[in-house]
Amino acid sequence: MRRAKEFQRVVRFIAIPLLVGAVTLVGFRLHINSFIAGFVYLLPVLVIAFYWGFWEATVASIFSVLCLDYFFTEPIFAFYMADPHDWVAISAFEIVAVVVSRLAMQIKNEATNAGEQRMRFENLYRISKEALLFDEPAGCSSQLVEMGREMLQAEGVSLWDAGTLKTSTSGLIQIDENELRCTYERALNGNHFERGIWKRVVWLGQRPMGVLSVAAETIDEPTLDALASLAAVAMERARMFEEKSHAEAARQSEQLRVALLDGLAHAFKTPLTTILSASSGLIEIDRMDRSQRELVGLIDQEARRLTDFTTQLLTTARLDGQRLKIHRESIPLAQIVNECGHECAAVLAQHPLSLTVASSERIWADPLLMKLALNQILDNAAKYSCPASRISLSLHENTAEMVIGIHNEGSYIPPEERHLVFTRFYRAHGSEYRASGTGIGLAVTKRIAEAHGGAVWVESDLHAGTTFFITLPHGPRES
Amino acid sequence: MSDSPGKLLIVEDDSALRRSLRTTLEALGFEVGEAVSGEEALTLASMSRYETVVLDVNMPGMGGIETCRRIRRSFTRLPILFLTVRDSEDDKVNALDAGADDYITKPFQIRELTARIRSAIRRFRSPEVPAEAPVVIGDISLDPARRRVERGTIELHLTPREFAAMHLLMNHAGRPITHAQLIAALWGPGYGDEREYLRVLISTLRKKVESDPAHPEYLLTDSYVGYRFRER
Repeated sequence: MRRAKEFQRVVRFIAIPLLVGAVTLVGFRLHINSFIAGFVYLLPVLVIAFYWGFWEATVASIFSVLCLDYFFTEPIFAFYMADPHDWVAISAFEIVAVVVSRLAMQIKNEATNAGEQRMRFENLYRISKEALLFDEPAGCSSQLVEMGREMLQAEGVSLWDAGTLKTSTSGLIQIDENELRCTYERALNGNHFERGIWKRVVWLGQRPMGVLSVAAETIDEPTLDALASLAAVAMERARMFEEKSHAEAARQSEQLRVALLDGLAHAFKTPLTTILSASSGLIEIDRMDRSQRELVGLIDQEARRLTDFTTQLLTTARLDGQRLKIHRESIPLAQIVNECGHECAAVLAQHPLSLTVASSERIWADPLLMKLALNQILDNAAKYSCPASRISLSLHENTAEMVIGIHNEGSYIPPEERHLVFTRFYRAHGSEYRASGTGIGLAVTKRIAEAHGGAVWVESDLHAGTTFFITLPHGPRES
Repeated sequence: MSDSPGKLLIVEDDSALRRSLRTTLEALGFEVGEAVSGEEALTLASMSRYETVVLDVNMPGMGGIETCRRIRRSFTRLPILFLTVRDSEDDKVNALDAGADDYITKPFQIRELTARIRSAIRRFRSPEVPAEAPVVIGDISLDPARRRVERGTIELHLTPREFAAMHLLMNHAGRPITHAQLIAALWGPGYGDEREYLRVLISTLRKKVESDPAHPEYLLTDSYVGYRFRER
């Protein structure tokens, strides 16, 4: 490209004396006087100034002055002027030629600039429109570098995304990822040119997003700036799109799981209802001998267990779904614990339950859910604590919340397992053979406590035993 | 007729449960009619004189709630007992608001079901008492004409609204009254969701009526659904 320009220039500087010479020849043959010749010489100078440039025109004007002097002023065929008027005329000619060429050049430059500006705006408009219309924001960086290369007329363009650590490249560009990372970490503003490559950090507001690099000798910096801001917006859009689709996928799989669990539990519940109504009906009708009664009792008992399990599954499915509704009431804790005591009567039969809660002490919670949560802990305490040991329940109040503590002896939980006991289907090592259970219980407690805006945790000591804590926020003050 | 346990209609789309209920209840002496859908139930109810309807809430076609509404339109006193399959509280509330007398959650024990059926039939057979007749349940007696409520021999001082609540609950003793029904009856139809008022009212009533308000004996809570007064 540079060669072509130099060649063009040489051709022009050869053409200028030829052109001036041709004008001289014509003028000389026609025997025009020096006054008219001056005007005739202005013509090629102006044309050259307008089409080729100021310097070319200046050279042409000097040639013209020489020719004027040599061929048209007295004495002819000598670079000498006898009449001082001719000196004035020729100087005026030169000044007019230079000023006019200068003006012509300015007009031309402005026209070119305006044209370039228009082109740049058109390009930017096109690229930003296309960047906004990328149908899939995830693949937009490759489209963006492609368009950038075309727009900047560069050999290659690459865009490195600091979030995904991915590089999109178009054309030929040799750049090392470590170098990009260095540029990114230095987080410099503006464009940097090094070894034939332009680099710039892409900023979104105050946040660096990645690095845009362009392989080109010269570059239109405003276009590069615009490209960088477009890249930032496009990258941010891609990132948000990805986050949204991840969240959507997670939500869908969660929904599916809940729906599946819900469906299964319902499918189990229908036949269980029939089995239970039949078994409890047989017991109620009471026309059986001893062994029959015992067998029917077994059926009834196990069907009830299966029902409880199904109900629990259904409840967890419902609790895990996003649609957990809480109906808070101010309820006496003692009443809930008593009801739990009835429900867990079978397991609690072997453990005395001591309650250090005044019957007037109230908590602000959903009664059914709270009962379910406490049931799980009491059940757990009864199953894993030392045989016939005491289980005690207490309620403390501080400025921020109510703290319910359920303490039992034994059942040491090592620190690394303490947060695991609240995950679903987790059962402590060695507990597989100790107690029957499903392992969903404490997960339910955790979910319920959190749905109330509270928390649950466990403290355990080899000698002192294990205490589970549930916190609940205070309710509105009773008037 | 009054010495037979009673005649009831079971409306349930699940054939296994229907058969099991029918066999059991017949063995226990009840006279049982069966319907597989709400439409069939309406036909049967108009053809034969039943004393209680046991109605499944989830049925294809008309559905339990709509069936209940239509039965209630033709038979104002016929007790309707709902079977709710989900522990969905909304179903229970909807059923009660549609005119059902009580609900029982699947899976249930036959003993519990028969107790509810017997109590419903007893209410159905007892002559209709005028709303102004005195009511006595356990220790508590309420005389609408004199606007007096007594526990044993002690007179309880109630505000007019507390009295109205006691009267409503005692007239429907044993049956749950939903929050919405209570609020509409006590505050008027303009109040839809003022649960807080009701909660405070019941808690002050308990302090006056119950010997241990933390463990109520008469004014019982049906969680999520409403309140019920103990049956005699």
